Amino acid sequence: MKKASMLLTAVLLIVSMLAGCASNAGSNGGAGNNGGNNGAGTATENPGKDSEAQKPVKLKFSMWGNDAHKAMYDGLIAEFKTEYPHIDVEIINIPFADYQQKLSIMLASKTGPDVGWLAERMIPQFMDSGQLVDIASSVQGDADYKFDDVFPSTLELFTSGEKVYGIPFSTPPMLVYYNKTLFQEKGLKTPSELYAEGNWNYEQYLQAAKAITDHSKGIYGVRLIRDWKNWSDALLPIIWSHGAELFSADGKSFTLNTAEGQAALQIYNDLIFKDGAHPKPGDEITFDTGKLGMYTDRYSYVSKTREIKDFEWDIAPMPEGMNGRGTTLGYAGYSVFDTEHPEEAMAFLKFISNETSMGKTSAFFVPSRKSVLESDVFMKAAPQPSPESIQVAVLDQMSDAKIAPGHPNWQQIDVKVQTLLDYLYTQSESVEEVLKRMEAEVNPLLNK
Amino acid sequence: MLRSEKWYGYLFISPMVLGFAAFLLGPILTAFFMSFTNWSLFKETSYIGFDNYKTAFTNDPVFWETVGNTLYFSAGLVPLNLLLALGLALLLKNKLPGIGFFRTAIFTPVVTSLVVWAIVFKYIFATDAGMVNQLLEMIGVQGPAWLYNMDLAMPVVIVVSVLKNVGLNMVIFLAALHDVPKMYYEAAELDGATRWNVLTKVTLPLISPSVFLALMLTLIGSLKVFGQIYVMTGGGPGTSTYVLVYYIYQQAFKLYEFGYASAIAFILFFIVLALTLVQWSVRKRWVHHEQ
Repeated sequence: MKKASMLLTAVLLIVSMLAGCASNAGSNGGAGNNGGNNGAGTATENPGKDSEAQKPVKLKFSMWGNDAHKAMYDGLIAEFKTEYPHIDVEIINIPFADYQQKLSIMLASKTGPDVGWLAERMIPQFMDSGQLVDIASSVQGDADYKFDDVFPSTLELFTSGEKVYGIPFSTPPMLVYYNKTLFQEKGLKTPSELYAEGNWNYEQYLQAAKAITDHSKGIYGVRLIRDWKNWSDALLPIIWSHGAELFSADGKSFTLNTAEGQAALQIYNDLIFKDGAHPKPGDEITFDTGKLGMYTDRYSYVSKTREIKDFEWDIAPMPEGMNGRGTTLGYAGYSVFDTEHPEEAMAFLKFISNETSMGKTSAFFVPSRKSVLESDVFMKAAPQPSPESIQVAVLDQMSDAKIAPGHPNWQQIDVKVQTLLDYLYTQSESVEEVLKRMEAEVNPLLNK
Repeated sequence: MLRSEKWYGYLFISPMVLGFAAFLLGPILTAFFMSFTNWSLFKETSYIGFDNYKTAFTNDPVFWETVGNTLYFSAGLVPLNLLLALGLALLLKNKLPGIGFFRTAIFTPVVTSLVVWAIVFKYIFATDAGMVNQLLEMIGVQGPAWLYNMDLAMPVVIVVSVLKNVGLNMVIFLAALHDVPKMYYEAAELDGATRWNVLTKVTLPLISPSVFLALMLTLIGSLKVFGQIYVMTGGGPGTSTYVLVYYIYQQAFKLYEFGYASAIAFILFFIVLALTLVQWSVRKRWVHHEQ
C-alpha cells in the first residue's frame, strides 16, 4: 500500500514535470516556427488581409522613454484600439544605454518587438542586417497619411533607394538649459541675452561656467554629459564647433586626432580638471537639483525640466565656436521590425506618426512634420519654455543642425572610445595621447 | 525486490536529472560547440576549430589583462573575506546581550540584492559628491576619484564585495565554532595555553573542514564576479576592472561575438575545474579533522 502510493507520487511528479516541459517546448517551438515562416509569409500575407483582419493580434512596441512618455503612448494606444479593436499593443521600455544591444539580441532570437523606436546611430546596423521592413508603399500610397508633410531631410537616414524603413518622430537639436536664478544671483548676462546680442560663444560660455562654479555650495558651472557612458551625444557639439570631425566622409577613417579635435577635448578636460567647473567623472548631479549653471541636452529633456519648481530656467542655443555652433540633431524614428504581423505593425506605425498623433508627441519631441512643427500645438504645448525661447533655441537652429554620424559597427566603436576616454577621466594620459590611441584602435574597427 | 527499489531510485532522481539535462547540460554542451565556431550576429556561422582559443591566448592582449584582473580580484577578496569572517565569528560567538542584532546586521547584506548593494556603494564612492569623500573633506582631506582611478577601482570593488558576502562565511564559521567541544578549551586552559595558542592549536584545526569549505566557495565565487563590476565600474576605468565574466558578457551581448565569448567561458570553466581538482588533492593535508 505504502509502496503503491509512493510509486504513484513519483509517477505523478514526473508526469506533471514532463507536461510542464512539453507545453513549454510546444509554445517555444510554435514561436520558432512562426519566426521561420515569417520571412516568406510577409510577401504572401497581403491578399489575406481582410479575412485575417478580425483575428486578435498583439503587437509589441519598444522604446527608451521615461514615465511621462509612456503615459502619453498609453493614451495613443487607447485611441488606436478604438480604430483597430482587434489589435493590442504592449509597450516594452528598455533603457537607452542597453537599447541597441537588447534589441539586436531580441530580434536575432525572434522575440523582438514588432514596432519600435530607433536612434540615428542604430539605424545602419539594423538596415544592414535586413531586420527593418520597407514601409514605402504603405506610407506613400495613403493620401490621408500625408507622407509629403514629413521633412525630406529627416527621412534620409531611413531611405535606401526607393525603400523607406522608418518615420522619424523626434529631431531635437542639442541646446543649453540654464539656471536663470544662478545667473541672476551672480549678476551675469544669461545665454539668451548674450545670444540676442550676438555674443553667445565659447569664450562667454566658459567664463560664465567658471563664474557660477561655487564649490562651497557644491555648485558647478556646466555639465556636458548626461551619462558618463554616453560620450558621443555630449562631445559632438564641442567637436564640431571647433571644426573637428569624428569620421571621414566615407566613414573609413577616424579623424578626431587633429589640432581641432585636440582643442575641443582639451576644453572638456580643463573644465573638469583644471577649472573644476564641470562635475568630475562618476558624479551624478542633475540639472533639476539646481546645482548646475548650464547643462547641455536635447530638447526632449524638457519633460524633466518642466517639473522644476525651485528655480527659474530657460533654454538657449549652443554657444558658437570657430566653426559654428556644432548643434547636433538628435534623431529618433519608428520602424517596423522583422515581424509576423507586418500589416498591423504598419497600421500602428502610421497611426502614431500621423499628423494628430505627432501633435501630441510634440509635447516632448521636436516633430518631423512641417505642419506640426510650425503650429501652435508644438510651440504652446506647455507653459515652459516660452514660444520665443523655442523659436530661438529650437526652430532657428534646425537648419544648421546635423545628425550624428552612425556606423554599422557602432557598438564596437562606442565601447572602444568609451574605454579610451577613461584614460582622460583618470588623468592617466594627456589629450594628445588619448587621441593618438583612439586613432590607432578605432581605425581597424571602421574597416571591419 | 532489489530491481524495483532500483527503479524507485531512478524515478525519484529523474526530475532533477531531466531538469539538469534540459536546462543546464544542454546549454553547456551547446556553448561548448559554439566555442568552435565564429558565430556572430551579423555573419554566416562556420566551424573554425580552435581559432577562438588561439586568438584568446596569442592575439588578444585584453584577454590576458582580464585574466590578470580576475586573479587580482580573487587574491584580494579571498584572504580578506576569510580573515574578516573568522574574526567576526570569533567576536560574535560569545553570548552577549544584543548579540543577535550584530549577527543579523552582518548577515543582512548577504540577502540584499547585489545590484542594490553595488548602486548604493557606487554613490558612496562617487568622486566629489560621494559620502566617503564628503567625510574626508570634513577632516580637510581631498579624497581621490575612487572609481575613476586606474589603481583604486579594483580595491574598492574588492572591499565592497567583501562587505557584501562576509556574513555568509561568518555564519559557516559560527556554526563550526559552536561545534568545537568545550572540553578542549578547558584542557587548554588547565595547561596554561595562551589565547593565540588556543586559536591556532585548538580552534583552527577543529574547524578546518569549514574553513576549507568557505575557501572553496569563496574562491570559485570570486572567479565568477560580475554584478558589482557591471554596476560600479562597467569594466573601467579603461580596462582596469575587466574580469572574465564581464569580458564574456561584453563579447557576447555588446559586440555580438558569441563564438569567441563561448570560448572564453570555457577557458574560465577549465580554470575553475583545475582549481577545484588542486584543492581536493591537497585537502588531506589541510583538513586535520573530519567526520
